[in-house]
Amino acid sequence: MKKTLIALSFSLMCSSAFAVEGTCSAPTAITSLPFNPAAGNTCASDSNLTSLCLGGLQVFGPQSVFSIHLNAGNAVSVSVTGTTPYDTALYVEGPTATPSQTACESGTACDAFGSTDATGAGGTETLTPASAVATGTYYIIVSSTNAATGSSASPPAASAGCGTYTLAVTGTLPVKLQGFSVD
Amino acid sequence: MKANMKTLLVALAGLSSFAVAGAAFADCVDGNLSAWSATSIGGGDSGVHVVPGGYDGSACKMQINMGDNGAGHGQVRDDSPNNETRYRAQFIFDPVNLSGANGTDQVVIFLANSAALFDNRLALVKILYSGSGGGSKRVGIVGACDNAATQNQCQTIVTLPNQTGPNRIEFDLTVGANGVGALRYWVNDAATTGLLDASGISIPITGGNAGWVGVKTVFLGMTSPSLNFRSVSAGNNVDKLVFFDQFDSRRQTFIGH
Repeated sequence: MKKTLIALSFSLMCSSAFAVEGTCSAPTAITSLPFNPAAGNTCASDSNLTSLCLGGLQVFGPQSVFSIHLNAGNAVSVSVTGTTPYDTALYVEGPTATPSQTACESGTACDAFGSTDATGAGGTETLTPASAVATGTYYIIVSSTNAATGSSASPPAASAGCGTYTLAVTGTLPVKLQGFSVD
Repeated sequence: MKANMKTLLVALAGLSSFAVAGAAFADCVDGNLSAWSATSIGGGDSGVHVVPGGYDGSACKMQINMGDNGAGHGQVRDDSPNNETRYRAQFIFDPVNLSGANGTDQVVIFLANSAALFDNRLALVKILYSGSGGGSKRVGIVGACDNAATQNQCQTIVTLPNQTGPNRIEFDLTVGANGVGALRYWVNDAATTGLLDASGISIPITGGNAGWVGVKTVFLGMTSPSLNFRSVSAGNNVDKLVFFDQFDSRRQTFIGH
């Protein structure tokens, strides 16, 4: 009995060590900028998609998913830095006028911001749209392509590549009218 | 690209074919890919171009260069399939400038995706370029299958018949339950003629593929390079360019040559 209780206690401690990571069914909403959350860990995510950006790009390892609503002309930049040995890749899907789990998982392209995995372990990936963005919901997704090696006998298979990362989103969000009066 | 492709494809439309993105190649003008639903380019200096010098009598071809970026992609996309439960497609793939060294030298060259995830996957058919331990250029043909023991992928590796030029790749996908879901393929030198529908080779689709419902979105081009591909074959250099041509897709009829 004592061993069981100790094991249960250890298990609870481990699961509470990670913050809850956003998924396509429940993305972490970004409602103000700059957005500099505490370090996340994709190992703690329940999202294990094998492709992103309308299914056109293969990914390996779990994802952390954030959502943000932008209006036309908003200038936003997204960057993520992995903690070595984690080699992150960054994707921004959108815009979509009808945000949903399906839109995030399979129905939205990455044409506005794009996607990048230009640096190695511990490096910073940054996406800034080349032109003004359109109105809609965007999904910011942290994942990895680093394990996409497979073997000489078979194409690459999904792996458990994941780790700790720090996300930063900067720029301006849509302005809301807080009050109006005529004197 | 055959100058008469568009006419040919329109004629085929009445013979159980459906909208075919290959009509985009009718005019050999760089950037003229308007018949495709979209062009998707990103990651480093990736690019998609239409250039002269098509294969097997066609006027021009699609040229892809892959940037040195794990999320690199240079693709055209066809959204015209409508959850197709039978989907046949063919294209010419010329990896003349790629290295055949190392089996982990891999990049995706074709995707036929479903509309929604099943078993966490979208790709009903995925074709990858790959090197080998012996230095041969190969393609991996991967079909979705409802078999967790193989990570829901049923696949085969084919050494390209033409190691120094264009190859013609065709497949025939049937979506259905275990025993009904099927995937056949043909990989030949682009100049080989007299191909027969019955000559296709089957990849067992263990567990079937009904959960993916049907083909909804198709990507042709290069995407998702492996680390080793990036180290030996990426970059916007003339000695690393890859070419595609003569894409054709249909619901039923064998395309052949």
